[in-house]
Amino acid sequence: MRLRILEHGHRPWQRALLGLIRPLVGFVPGPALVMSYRGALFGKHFTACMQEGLCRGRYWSRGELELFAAFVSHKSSCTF
Amino acid sequence: MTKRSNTFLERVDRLRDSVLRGPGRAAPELRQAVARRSARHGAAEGATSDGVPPELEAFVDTVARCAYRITDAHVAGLLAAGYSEDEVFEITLAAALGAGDVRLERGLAALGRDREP
Repeated sequence: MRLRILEHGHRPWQRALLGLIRPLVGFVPGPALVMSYRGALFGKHFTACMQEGLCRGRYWSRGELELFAAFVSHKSSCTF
Repeated sequence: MTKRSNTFLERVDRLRDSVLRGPGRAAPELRQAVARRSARHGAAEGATSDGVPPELEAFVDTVARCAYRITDAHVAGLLAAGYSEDEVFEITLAAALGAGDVRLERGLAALGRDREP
């Protein structure tokens, strides 16, 4: 069950952008909705953490980091 | 601790401050209590009252321990209890953050590091 705010609560420019994703993918992935809704509360800061942790990794390659993330997601029964 | 690690932890701190103390529909005290209870589950300390209202306990515990088991009924129950959709959104974030925080601490501990610079 999705909260209605995640389907209809975004700002107009966000709805337009999300509207471009829907016909391409068939739906808008949940994480995209969560990250973009009230971005100043969560998405903005979480994106910054991901960028630092995954994209600027020093000891592991990007591929290795994404493998770790995929493994953890699998263990958490998460498809993302 | 490398400068890069400090930058990551600083960003985590900003995320935590925003979700638990920033402007929101749910009271900051409630969001912090939810995060504490969720973190205690992850730390296997056992949940305590933590100031989390009874109608939220099952939801927070499920998010903390097995979020993939959250169902429509869980969310509908919170809405029926009088929480707004934005409050449910914020409470969910707080519970996920609490659970994630303890995992981060365990990972850092495994590396022989802690959160302090």
